[in-house]
Amino acid sequence: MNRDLFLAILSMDSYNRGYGEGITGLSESGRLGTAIIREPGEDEQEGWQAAGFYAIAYDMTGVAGFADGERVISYRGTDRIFNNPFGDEGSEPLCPQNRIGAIRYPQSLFLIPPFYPHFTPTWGVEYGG
Amino acid sequence: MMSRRTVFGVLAGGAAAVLSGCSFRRSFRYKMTVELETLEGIKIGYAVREVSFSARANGGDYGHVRGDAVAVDLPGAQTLFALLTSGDGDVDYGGDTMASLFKQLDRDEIQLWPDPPKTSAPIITNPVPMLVTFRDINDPTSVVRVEPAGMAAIFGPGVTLKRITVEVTDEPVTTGIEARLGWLGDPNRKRFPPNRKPEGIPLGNYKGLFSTELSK
Repeated sequence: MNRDLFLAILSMDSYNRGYGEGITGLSESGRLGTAIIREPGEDEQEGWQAAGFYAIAYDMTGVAGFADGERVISYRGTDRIFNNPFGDEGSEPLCPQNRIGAIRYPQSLFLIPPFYPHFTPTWGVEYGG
Repeated sequence: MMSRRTVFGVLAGGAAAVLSGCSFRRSFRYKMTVELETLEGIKIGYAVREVSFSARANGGDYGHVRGDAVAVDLPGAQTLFALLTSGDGDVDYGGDTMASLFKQLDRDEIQLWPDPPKTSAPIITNPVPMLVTFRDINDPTSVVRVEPAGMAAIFGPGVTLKRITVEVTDEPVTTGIEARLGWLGDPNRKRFPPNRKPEGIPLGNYKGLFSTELSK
């Protein structure tokens, strides 16, 4: 599969697992295609829902178009950024989704990837990818 | 008791709150009751939870739960817990799934076990909560899953799960489960060794399986 297409699928997948998922019955373990879902560690997700944050990571070893050991982190986007820029549902640059994402996954910041060559962040947006 | 007409009148009325910029729509409460048959008679536990609503980014409502797991005291100083997640690990079980269940069945009281409700749009595949106990209630890593039909194997002969129901209520939300599980509020509590994870119990938000009040 084309790398960009797979990344787009993974970016949508963050909306289909965990709390408030779009598709019921998908677990936070196992595989999505040939990507291996990284199972959340003990207490890793504590406070996520209260803060409006969600992310999930995959090991892309063996997936065509990805390097062995490459990880992809997919986290839910900043909903309503256009129609409610100052609301409290993940709408502005310092909303919980962005703040926790930066703390939990600093490698997802655009300025940092050169130091974390094996991580590929993806952002979901409410439009589906 | 608040009637179902009132509850879903409240839900319908919530749209105005969202449009006016308020994050949460109004809420409703339900009481989950778990009843077991034992050699010492019927044992019952319950918890009242509150579900509040916010708008999903892609439309519709999302139900957020507040409250605790149900605890049922059993003979031999044992305790059964009915968690905020479902038997198949759905973390939305206590909130969004329950709201969906009341809405689509349009009843004030719903039996979840032994006769699970028939659902559609969405089909709720596992309406029974995840059930657990502890071999040592002071040790969080001694947690064990209990299957609804397998009480006797864990708690001893004569113990059976008789019924699990949910009903709409206006009673106060149940909190304080940390009084039973002292380690819940302890940031330095014992952790699971990497090679000894409990079978079928999600650990990503372990405290959140028992209470929504300790992870804020």
